[in-house]
Amino acid sequence: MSSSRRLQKELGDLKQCGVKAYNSVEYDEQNLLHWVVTLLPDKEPYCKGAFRVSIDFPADYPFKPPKITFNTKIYHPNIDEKGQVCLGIVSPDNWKPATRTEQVLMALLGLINEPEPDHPLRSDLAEEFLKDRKKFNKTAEEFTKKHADKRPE
Amino acid sequence: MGARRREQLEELDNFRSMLECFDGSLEYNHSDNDSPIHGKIRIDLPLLERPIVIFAEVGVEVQYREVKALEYCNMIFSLPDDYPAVSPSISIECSWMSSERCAMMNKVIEETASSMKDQEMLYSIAFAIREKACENLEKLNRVDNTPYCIAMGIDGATILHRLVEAASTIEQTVFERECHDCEVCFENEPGSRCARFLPCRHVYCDKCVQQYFVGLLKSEGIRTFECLADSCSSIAAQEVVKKAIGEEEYERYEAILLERALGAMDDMAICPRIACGKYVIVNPVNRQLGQCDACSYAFCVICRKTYHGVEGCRWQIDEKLKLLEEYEKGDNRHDLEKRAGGKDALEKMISNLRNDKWLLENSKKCPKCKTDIEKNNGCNKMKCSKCATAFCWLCLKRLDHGDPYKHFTENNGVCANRLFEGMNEDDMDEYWIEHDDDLDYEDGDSDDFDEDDYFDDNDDGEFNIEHLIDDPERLLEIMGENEEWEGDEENDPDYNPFDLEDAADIDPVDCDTDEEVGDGVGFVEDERDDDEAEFGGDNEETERKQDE
Repeated sequence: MSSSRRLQKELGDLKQCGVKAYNSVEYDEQNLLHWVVTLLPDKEPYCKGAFRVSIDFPADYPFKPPKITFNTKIYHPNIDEKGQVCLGIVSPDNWKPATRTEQVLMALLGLINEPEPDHPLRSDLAEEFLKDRKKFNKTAEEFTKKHADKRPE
Repeated sequence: MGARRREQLEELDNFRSMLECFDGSLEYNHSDNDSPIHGKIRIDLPLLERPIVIFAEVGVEVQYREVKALEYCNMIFSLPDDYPAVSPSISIECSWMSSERCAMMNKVIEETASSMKDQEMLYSIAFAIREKACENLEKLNRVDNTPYCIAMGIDGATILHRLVEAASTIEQTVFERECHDCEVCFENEPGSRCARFLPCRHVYCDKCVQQYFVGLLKSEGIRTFECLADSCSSIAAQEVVKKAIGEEEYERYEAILLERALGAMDDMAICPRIACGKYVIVNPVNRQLGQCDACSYAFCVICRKTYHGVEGCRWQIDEKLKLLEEYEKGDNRHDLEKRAGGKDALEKMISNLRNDKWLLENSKKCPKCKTDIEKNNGCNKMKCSKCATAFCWLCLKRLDHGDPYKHFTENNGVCANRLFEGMNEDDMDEYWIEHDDDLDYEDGDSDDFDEDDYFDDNDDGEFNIEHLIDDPERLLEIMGENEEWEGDEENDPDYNPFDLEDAADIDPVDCDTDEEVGDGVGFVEDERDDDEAEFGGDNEETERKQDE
């Protein structure tokens, strides 16, 4: 399978990249098509938790984009209750085969840190984010405390 | 042949076998007589360490080009009989080399020759030329005043073009010889099996490019093939696409792209004749007219039928709906705009189409004058707002003017007991509130109508609708008896059907023609008094005049 060599290499590069915010990856040697990455956003109101994200690579990766799903509940305008996220870089229309998972993770982390209320998946949260940032941050922080994992020391 | 000559030929043979080292070529002439051997060695130059800019006068302006490699230079040689005891005569021929650099190269040649006296030296000299030709080049280099260009009479434009072409060929040769990491599959492949995108210089193996492009071809909405890197919009070179998807598919891809590009141009249309299908330039004055140069067919750019002058397009209903659907999907707005003759024209057309569609779905035609009638509320006994014909909304049958409700009471009729069918309760509430006053039977004529049966006890004046629905015959009886409520103008003493003040302005044709379709919608005629003034007038009278 052409994707396995690439995934192997991407895994290796990711583990070596030294960026703690996204370089903790869990995977099964037998099935490289499924990864779980722990993301550590560094901005309020998400910076006190660790968020686990599933990355599912299709069999024809890298010619089709990976699918991203949040395993950890998160209070965020661009991530819905099911953990689905709308990320331009992995949308089928924008996807380019040379895009690396590291780029995807960087984009994802960027979206968590800086929500895009103009393209929300949850319009109620987007509205709150725009109109009452204080309340939004408070709820999101409580949500993080309740649902997110502990950040590694 | 002397021993010297034999040795010279031997040296040239050896030289030839070493040509690979610097991608050159060697040609020389030699006949069996003892005239000196002379020839030419082409020395290809390596890639420049850093790009340089070449410039030349092109017409009145100076043009600049950046290059990463420079064209070969030729080493012209002639071997005297006593070579190598005597130095060969060697000169440089190079298109881009300035006279200063040529002089410098001559010095290099001399030095090399004198350091190798009595030895075979052609290879060493060629090697030195290759090493030094591009050494310490200025950032900016004028290329149209070189000794070569002057001697050959080459102008600035030609030399610039030639050097740029040469540079790209050299780059490609070097690229093909080296191995590259594909940025998609991470395999290391020789350049000959890789594709390079420009200007970004991203490199992928042929297999990955092929898989990606073929996938794109299969997907909906073909787009221009771009580089495979995220947000990189370098467009794939023609050779890259051809190599990836094959000649045949390439032609198809080109045709689609061309069609799209031309489609984006406002002044192009495609000849609607299936057998023709050529591109046609829209008439610049009359933007609705296209005339095909190939088959002479004159067509309307909007409806794509034979040109129809100032007359509007005649669309079939299904065509209209298809067009509207296409517009609402929003895929091909630009194409539609072009077909309609501009954005404004399209908006107007779409608004008309929406109107037509709405009419189709919501209105019925008056059985007499064919005017489109909308029923916005009220019962099923309709009266045309244009010609005042009474008709049944359900079966479109014209009703007896004297007793229009008979149609809904006839026991065996298809519409029996269906006067209120299709009305929702809210409408009925409204209906009765509005007709409340009409049901004020102060004349005592309505002795068989017992108000208590129909009004709520709390006396809020509203009807209890259920009662009426349960007893339609009874209701009709009541309604039939109250002429004022029914609003039958012929029995209205105040009603003057021959109010000629208005009637004089009417064009009789206006009434009975189908042309009215789509112009607007007549309003529902639900038998209200307040409607009489609006609807009872003009057209009805005209109708009557015609009847007379």
